[in-house]
Amino acid sequence: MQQSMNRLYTLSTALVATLFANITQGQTGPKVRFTGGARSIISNADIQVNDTIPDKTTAKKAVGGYALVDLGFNISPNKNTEILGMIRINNKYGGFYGAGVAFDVRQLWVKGIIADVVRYQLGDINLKQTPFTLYNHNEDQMISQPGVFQLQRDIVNYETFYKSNTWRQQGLSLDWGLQFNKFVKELNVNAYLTRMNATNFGNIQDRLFGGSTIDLMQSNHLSIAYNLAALFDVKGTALDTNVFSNIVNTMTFRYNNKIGKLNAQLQGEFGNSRYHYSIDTTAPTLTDFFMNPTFTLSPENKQWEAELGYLNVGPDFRSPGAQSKRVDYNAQPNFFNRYKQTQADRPLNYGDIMNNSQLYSTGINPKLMAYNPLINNVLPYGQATFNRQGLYLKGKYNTQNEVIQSEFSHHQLKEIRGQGTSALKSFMMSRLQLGANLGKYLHWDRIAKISASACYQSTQRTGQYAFESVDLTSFQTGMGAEFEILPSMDLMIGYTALQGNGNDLVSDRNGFTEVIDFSKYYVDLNQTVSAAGIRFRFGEKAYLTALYQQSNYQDKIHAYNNYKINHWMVIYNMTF
Amino acid sequence: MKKHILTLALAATLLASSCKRNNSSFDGPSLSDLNGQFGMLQPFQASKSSVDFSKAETVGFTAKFTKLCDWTIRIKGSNSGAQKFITGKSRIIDVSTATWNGSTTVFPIFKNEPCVATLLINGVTDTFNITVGITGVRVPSGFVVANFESGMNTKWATFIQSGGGMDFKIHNDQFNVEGSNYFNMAGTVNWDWLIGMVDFPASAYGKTTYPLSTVGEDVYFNCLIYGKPNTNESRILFQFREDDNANGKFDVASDDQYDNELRVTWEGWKLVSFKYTDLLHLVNGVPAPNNGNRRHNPNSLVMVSMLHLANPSGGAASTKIDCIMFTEKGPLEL
Repeated sequence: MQQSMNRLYTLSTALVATLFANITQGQTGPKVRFTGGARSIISNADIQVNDTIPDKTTAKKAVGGYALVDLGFNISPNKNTEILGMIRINNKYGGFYGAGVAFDVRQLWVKGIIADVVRYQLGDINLKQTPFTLYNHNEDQMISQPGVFQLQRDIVNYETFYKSNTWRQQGLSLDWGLQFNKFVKELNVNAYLTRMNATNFGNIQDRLFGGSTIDLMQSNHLSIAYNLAALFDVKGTALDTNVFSNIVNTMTFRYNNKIGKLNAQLQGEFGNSRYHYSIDTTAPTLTDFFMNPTFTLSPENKQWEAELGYLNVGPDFRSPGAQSKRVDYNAQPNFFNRYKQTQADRPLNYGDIMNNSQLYSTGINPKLMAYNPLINNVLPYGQATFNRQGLYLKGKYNTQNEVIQSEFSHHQLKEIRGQGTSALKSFMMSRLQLGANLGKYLHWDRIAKISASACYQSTQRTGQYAFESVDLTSFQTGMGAEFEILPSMDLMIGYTALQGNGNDLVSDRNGFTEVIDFSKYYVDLNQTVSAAGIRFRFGEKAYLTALYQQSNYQDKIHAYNNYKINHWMVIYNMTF
Repeated sequence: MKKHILTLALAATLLASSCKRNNSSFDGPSLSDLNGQFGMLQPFQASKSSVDFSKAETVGFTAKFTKLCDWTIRIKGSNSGAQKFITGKSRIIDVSTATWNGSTTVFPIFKNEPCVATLLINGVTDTFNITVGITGVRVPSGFVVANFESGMNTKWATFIQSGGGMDFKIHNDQFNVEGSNYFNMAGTVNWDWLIGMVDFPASAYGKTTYPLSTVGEDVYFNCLIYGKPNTNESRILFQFREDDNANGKFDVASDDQYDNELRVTWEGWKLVSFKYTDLLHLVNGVPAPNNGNRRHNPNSLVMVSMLHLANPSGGAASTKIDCIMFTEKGPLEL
């Protein structure tokens, strides 16, 4: 029996060996390594407001900046353990000997291997499962931004730990795997448990977020996985015994084979969710399901790829790990947050969303966050957006020498359940992205790139009465260029715009995510952001850049809200 | 390959057959309700034209609109001036949303009198009136500590300071709120917070302890208090003394006393109710540990005291009280 077991099962060492190799490699060098980054920004901005009332109450210029260093100590006390502690020292310009200086712990984790089998990580963890369980969708960036804007995007991503659609959580994760000789090729298991909030011992329980993926690879052609993501209160950690839970169970599958000379892949995910409060009778129990099968074709050389997908996500499907949004549209911009004589809240513009890391969430949110219908009304919560069904088509095409790179997608979706009426909204979104590497085309050894992208969205509803009608369109465009005019010195220019007009009725939801009312949304808006800059690169990991950016906000319905911001920045950034 | 596709197709079929979805026609309030034109589909009506609340009768109101409305039914006593408000948000008013059991929102309480019920709809200028006659008033249920209808019980103990204009007497005048009498507590005492007090011992009712439930959570203390505008703020301190050691009397050192001090900051009559288990032991107005079993035992209550307090530097203080009652399973509804 033991022999047959041994014959049948052999412990997988693939994942373990990879990490082991990394750690032992570290052992050949010093046991303590330094890692981190440094950044300095000097910023000068001014705002011009189109208001008939003279403004004597708000400032029109903002000057500031900071220098910061993230200093991490990567310690390997033994061959199976790695520890990272990273502190941040941030000094606002004008600070001196402590004033304006802040010290923070930016990262802290321990990882290693138990008994050469189980890989673990404690502390800060970057987690991702599937698009319907735990996934950091990027639904607020519908078009790829030119490089001049991407510099600021990269800073936002660094600040918020957005990396490969992961959410940064704090807790424990475990990985292990098995390899088999017969019937099944591999079984990989991942489990995690993180803490969302602490108890106040009264009416707020300890809230945890945990999950697991059991991935069974039958062969190189077929694999099936079970995924669990659960947000839940720990009963007994507070006097209030009403506990919340939101459980999501899904199955993913992938089958690939050849159809003629093409690679064909049938894959998808389906599952359900349950949103429940144990005692509160005023709270609803929401249960629903979703399915998202796709079929993909591509040639052997991967020069192109075409994907056809069907999406059906129930109106009551709730998955906080997959439906949390990056941008918090209720947050304030970090400068000129009040403007005009009335000291009104300045509406966010496209430029704020591109470069203000304070607008971005750093963790998952158990409640449905607000969204901007102009930026994404079709899938505001990413692929996990509830109350959507329909088809979509995606494609990619790259020339053989990769001079031209292109991507497109088209979504044709509809609501499953109406909002305030049995008439359903229909959604359409088309996206196109093009990039040309002129350097490769002209056989230059310098950077010469141009890019363009566009996204058109439409939301329509026709009902029995005029007040049911919805007609909202938005159009996002972006274009830019990067040229290495001298060795390691790049000239970058970019332009992006968001235009939208029409009307919608946006659902107002209570704390239980139920629709309780509708807000009328009328818009005729035009926002543009233009930028130009020069970047000096110091190797792969450091640069110094001077940027000028102009954001223009034009509201044709409320013209007195219009404003323009001119923004100069000098940024030095490096990682090590 | 065929086997794999068959397996996937089978799994998809099983999934599709096992999934169920809530088939509500739409989410949220109806847009027709929110945006449509207002109209009366069914007139505002009462289920009866006269009602005897003393026999536990009720009046139901009905109406039907073309859209969802925020509505209020205001019932006003023609002689007493008492008012009752019933509010809701719906397309239909029926007995489940609008039933009147004779209770009062704005005191005094209703008398045997004709009343006018008016339907007010938010955003609609038209009002709709009907008349309902009361032939018997509502009789509150509970243990009555004092309603002053039969004068002062001889076993109640009173202490009244010798200040100026002292009036600790039963009155029968235009301030009547329930029945024919109320108790007035007024005077000027410029050397002490205490104006006067009344003790209501259980023995005044022929009992060794108040006949109340053993479950403190179920017991409510209620009274009607009148706040008089433009006078020194009155405070009414209620003290509840228990006989935890069952020796027939309250012992400071070994029994529990619970207190509640009310600041009379309102004008006119107000019904005040509080749960017995919400009471604390106060020493100089500050919560302090009790000396008995430290449990709320309404069935061990031997004495209720009512003290009228006011700032001695503030001048004359005046308040009125009526309908002092214990109720069970809920606060008093008048």
